Amino acid sequence: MDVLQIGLILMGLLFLFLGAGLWVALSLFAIGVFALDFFTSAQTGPIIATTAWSSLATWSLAPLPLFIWMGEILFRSRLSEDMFTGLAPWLNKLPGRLLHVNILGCGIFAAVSGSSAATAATIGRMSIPELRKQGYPDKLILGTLAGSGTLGLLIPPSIILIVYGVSAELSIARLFIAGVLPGAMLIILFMSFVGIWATVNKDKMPAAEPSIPFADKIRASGRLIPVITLIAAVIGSIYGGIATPTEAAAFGVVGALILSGISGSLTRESLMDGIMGATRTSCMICFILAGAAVLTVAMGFTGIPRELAAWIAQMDLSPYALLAALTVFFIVLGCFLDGISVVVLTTSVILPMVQAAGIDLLWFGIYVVLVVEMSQITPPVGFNLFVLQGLTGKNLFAIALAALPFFFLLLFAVVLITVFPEIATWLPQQMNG
Amino acid sequence: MRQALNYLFKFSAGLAAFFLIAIALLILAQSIGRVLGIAVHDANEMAGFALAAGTFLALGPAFRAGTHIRVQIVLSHLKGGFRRVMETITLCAASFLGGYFAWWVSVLAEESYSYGDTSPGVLAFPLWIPQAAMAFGLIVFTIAMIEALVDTVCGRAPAFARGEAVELNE
Repeated sequence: MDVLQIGLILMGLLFLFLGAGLWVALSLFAIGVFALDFFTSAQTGPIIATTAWSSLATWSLAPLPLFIWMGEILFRSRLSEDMFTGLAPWLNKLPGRLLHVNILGCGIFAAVSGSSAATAATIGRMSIPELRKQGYPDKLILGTLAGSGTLGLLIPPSIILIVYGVSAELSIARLFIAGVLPGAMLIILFMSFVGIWATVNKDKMPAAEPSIPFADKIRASGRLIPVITLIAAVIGSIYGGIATPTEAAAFGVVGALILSGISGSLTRESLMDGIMGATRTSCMICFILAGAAVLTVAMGFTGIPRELAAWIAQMDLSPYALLAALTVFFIVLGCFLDGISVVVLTTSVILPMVQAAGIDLLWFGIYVVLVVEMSQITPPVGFNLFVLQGLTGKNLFAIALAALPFFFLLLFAVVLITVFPEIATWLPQQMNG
Repeated sequence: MRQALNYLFKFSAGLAAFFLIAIALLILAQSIGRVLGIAVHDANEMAGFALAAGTFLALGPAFRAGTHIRVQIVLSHLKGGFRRVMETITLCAASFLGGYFAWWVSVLAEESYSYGDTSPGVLAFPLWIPQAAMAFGLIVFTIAMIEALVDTVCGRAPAFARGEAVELNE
């Protein structure tokens, strides 16, 4: 049997397992076992045990549970309320007014949490009722939340970039820093869109709140200052080379505990909830990583990624054509799979092909995350859509429609970083060490 | 029986939580030690072991909480008996895979024990300890899946279904 046939059989099986509702990590694991057992002469059992062990018993993964924990602590704090009251007075004058609270609030929360769904949930919990009460159009409330919630994937510390970095064996610190400018660019794109929309549709916007004195504005956002300091310290220490991402994460946890302790939201119960929640979430992600590691090793034995890479090299595609094809493929895949699964499948199977096409893997990480962000807001499986459905009780497709402009803005961002790769690569090049 | 299982899952979850805290403490001790000039040996290596052990120990409890993700788009369109058949087949496959995985990781831990394998660092920590934790976690995971299988066959809602429902409505 040739490699192409094996590849097609395995792909068919993977979709069968996933579609039947077998858990993602187990599906990856099953395909790995199946490929090793049927198509190679390797000793399946010992290989999978050692692979699973060595994929997880590594310190490079340590920031993952810690950043998840940090997010869990802040998720349970008063941050949601503080974000709204702290940001609203400053944004009242911009066209689009308080809609920008969603975007900037998500941007800030994204920097303390690595998860997209948690970002949309935290900000939305407070801003949806408030913005509705003031008469903002529902379509934009939901659209901005769904769209900006995805910032959680890109703005450091990002869980999905750790997953990509560990499986592609890249520096996590560099990946984090590479995500900063594209993240900022997305915030600007989103805010410009809202501003333009609000200027064109003045009649659909509620009247401005009376402006409040500068001193009161400062007072209202006073509670945000510690959080912003924490974020700056975490990202800054990684950028400056003072701390590794792992150390920054450990100190981030301490900082988050202190913050929620001061604000009075830290109870025995919320502390335990946070620890258990973080334990479960990081277990879920690490288990997928272990499954993906088994799959990667099995793929290496079958030689499929190598063949794919050779095939692409032979076709002599331009990198742009390859990226265009991959983008379409990822968007389709992302309609059914969550972001982390898409990323680990990518690194298991198509990374050699990307490398063969001469694409920088650091840049590719940012690209993949942007495309995965789009998949968070595409039906039928889009985690941000689920979250907003839970918060508002609205129909999934109605929310997806509201998020559609943001989907295109993300696509535009993909085009921008493809044409100007420096948006992602410039900042990491300036890093110390 | 149920009671004993609940204790087992709680025990596993508690250990996993302990390892999460251990990772944070190890890293903190290392970086504070560096500033003070006290060498904390092999903290990175030990953090890696804690991560592997913690991940696998949390598998079972996370499974019962419905945290592990899967594609539900097909399942959610199936009704009643047919859905139960599908879930049963999936859970059979999942339990089998879990058992298979648990078996080979146990073999790995046993081999590390009999060959006396240790970590490469200064501490020369015996590898079988975290590997045994990993095997134990996988066994608990398999038990949790068999529990869900039995519940599904008997027509009861398995523990993870509640978690999956909450996740979508939260």
